[in-house]
Amino acid sequence: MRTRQAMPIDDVEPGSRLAVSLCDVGGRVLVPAGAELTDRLLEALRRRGIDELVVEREAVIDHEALAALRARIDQRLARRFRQAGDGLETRLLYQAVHDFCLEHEA
Amino acid sequence: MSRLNADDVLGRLRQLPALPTVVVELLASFGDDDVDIGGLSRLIARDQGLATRLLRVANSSFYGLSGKVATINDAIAVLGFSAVRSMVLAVGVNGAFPAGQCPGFDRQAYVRHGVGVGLAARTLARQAGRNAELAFTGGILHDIGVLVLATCFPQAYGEALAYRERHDCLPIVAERDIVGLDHAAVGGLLADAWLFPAALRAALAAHHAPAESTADQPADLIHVADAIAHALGLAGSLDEMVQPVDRTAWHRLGLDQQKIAAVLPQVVAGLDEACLVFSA
Repeated sequence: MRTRQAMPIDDVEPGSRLAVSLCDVGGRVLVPAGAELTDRLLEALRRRGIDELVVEREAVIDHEALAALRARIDQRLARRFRQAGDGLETRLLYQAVHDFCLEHEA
Repeated sequence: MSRLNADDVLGRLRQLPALPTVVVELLASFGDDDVDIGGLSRLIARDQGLATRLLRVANSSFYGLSGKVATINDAIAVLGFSAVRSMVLAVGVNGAFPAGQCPGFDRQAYVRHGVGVGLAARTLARQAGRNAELAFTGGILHDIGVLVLATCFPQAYGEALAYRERHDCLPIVAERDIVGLDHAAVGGLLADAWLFPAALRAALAAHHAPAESTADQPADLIHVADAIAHALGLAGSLDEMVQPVDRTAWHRLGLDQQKIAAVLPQVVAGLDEACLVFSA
């Protein structure tokens, strides 16, 4: 599975692939999505003043990191739900928000 | 300090400057789609603050028409009458309560939470085939009772906020214990004093006890939207607290986990822009 990640251009590993086409202010594509970011290309982009790129990442499921994220979300939501009781509807809301946070923060 | 009763609140509300004429006219026409748009446009144009604000909103990226809306008539034509009505109402009513000196009250968090509830209620309303603009306006104004307390009774409300923090209880519990009235009751008094239509009154007065309202009123939508906004932490405050979701409201809206999941991204996506539009 592939994911995308925005990162400072200086942190981009040469050989990564661009996840979103890079356009100038007029909307012209400078570098298409999927292009390999070679050393030369990265240098050229730096010279144009570009400081951040969205690159493709192979998602390696890191079970430990995922468990830690779940725990952080649970902790945050447990605080917000501390007076919400354990009714079925409240638990369904909790679960929907938990899944949403997990998807957006993973 | 002695606790407040309904007469104290009503007495203080009577001392406030009158609402702008256009807001009063819009309130009277709420829920009525057969209104004179030309007359509305002239009323808005006479209120320079509202006119400027409406044009700024109409030209904001929230509506995707940056720089193209030049007149009030254009704004109404482009945004739609109901969108203009809800914007003018929300801004006009919130604007009636200027910044006060209430210790512990965070007006920015108040606006962000209200806008979050408005967006969630609007999305839930569309999902349920209900009046989306009414839900949106009701959502933005649902906690107006808080604003009344914080600006008209800053000392008492500040004590309630401190009590809430000390006991980590729900805000309505602290308000009843310290002020004597909770913000939903105060919202109901305001709605009566300012002759709000019944649907808007229900959004303000019954959102913490929606089962006491009827299924055709927006209290169910606002109640669930309130829980969603607090669950997402949209106000950005560490003290945010979800109150138990009312079973009657949930079932009357035909909700399930998937339907809630479909609402969440739309609320989060629209929040920042809508906050710019509606912040006081």
